[in-house]
Amino acid sequence: MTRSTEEMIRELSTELPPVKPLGRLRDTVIAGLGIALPIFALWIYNSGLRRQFQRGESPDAIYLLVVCVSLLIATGGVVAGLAAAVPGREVAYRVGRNIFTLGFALGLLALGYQVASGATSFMDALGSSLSCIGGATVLGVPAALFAARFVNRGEAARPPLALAQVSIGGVGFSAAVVHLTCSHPDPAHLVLGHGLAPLMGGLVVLLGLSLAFGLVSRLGRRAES
Amino acid sequence: MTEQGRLPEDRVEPREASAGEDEARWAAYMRAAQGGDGQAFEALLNEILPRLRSHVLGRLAGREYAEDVVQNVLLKIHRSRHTYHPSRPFKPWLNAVMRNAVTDALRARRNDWRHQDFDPLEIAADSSRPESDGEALSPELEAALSQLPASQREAVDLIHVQQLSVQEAAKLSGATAGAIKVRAHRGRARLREILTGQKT
Repeated sequence: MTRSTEEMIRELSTELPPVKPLGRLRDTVIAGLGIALPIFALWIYNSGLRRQFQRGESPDAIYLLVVCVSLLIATGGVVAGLAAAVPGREVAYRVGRNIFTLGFALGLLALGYQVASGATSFMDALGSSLSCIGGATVLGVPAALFAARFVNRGEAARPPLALAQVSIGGVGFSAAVVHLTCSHPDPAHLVLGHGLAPLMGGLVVLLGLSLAFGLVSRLGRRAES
Repeated sequence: MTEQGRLPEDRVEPREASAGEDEARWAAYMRAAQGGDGQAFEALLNEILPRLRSHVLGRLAGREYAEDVVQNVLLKIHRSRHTYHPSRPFKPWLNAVMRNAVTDALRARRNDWRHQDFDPLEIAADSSRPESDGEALSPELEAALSQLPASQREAVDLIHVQQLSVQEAAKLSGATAGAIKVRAHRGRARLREILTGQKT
């Protein structure tokens, strides 16, 4: 068996094709932002800022909390997903995962508080949130797609989890942008439609990415055979 | 670095110095391998092999099975060498690849309680030896081969039964050498599963 391992090493080393190293995490995040920011700017230009800001009023606590929730989910998700794809970046992965969990827990706590306070029914809040969730989902697709391509090229131990993290993270950034432009006054809408939009929109994006990658891989196998 | 800031050489622990040299040399080998330098890649794999064996043997019982996992790790290093970034330290990357591969192997072993130390290619090699006078493969192996996907069956047949070189097999099948190696390895693993299942 020892001899065969050494033979295998020789075989693996024969006619070794050159490979392009995967980009650095930091560079990939910057490139992803480079793709997403012009789209976000266009959205803000078209939709206008939240009326509260146009009137020069300062945001209330729940508004700021939702900003934190979406940015924590976005940053944590993207960092964890990208780091998971690169062997040896476990520390970055754990940091990202913890940030993501913190954002998600804060979002759930805020939602629980809003629903328990009884000011708005959950179903009413969900109904009014669908357009914001949809907007955030569509806006988040380019960034999520870019990050998913990186994950797909990498060597994640659990690729579906890494894809889910970057999908949710990508939609998290766009949810923060939607949050800047939506003038809905209901706090339950802010929490559900903006703070937790990354989770719902991210799962939709994940489904789309999985179907797309599955299709590409099947076509590749068919072409290979 | 200033003279004051530098640690005198005689105060550097030999073991630490050696580890640092390994790190620098292995990283250089990997950079060269990413550029297509097969000799550097071979040197790298040969140098890390003892460390790899010791890592795998420390976690898996059964020398034969452990050697199979070692080969899986080598394949994984080959397949995922693009995920190493030249500006990053090499050893954490290597450790992560080893750890993931061993975890996968443990998981697979847990799922496959019927695992036995059994190499189907020894049967293939026996059947294709010159002294067997062109005797056909055993019906058991033929049946197992027929259950493989076409691409894996072709790779196993060309490399392990007909004993062609990887390059010859790649030319005949119209695939790259890397793809042929991976298909042959997967085919061999699948064969083992099929034949082990039949044996038990």
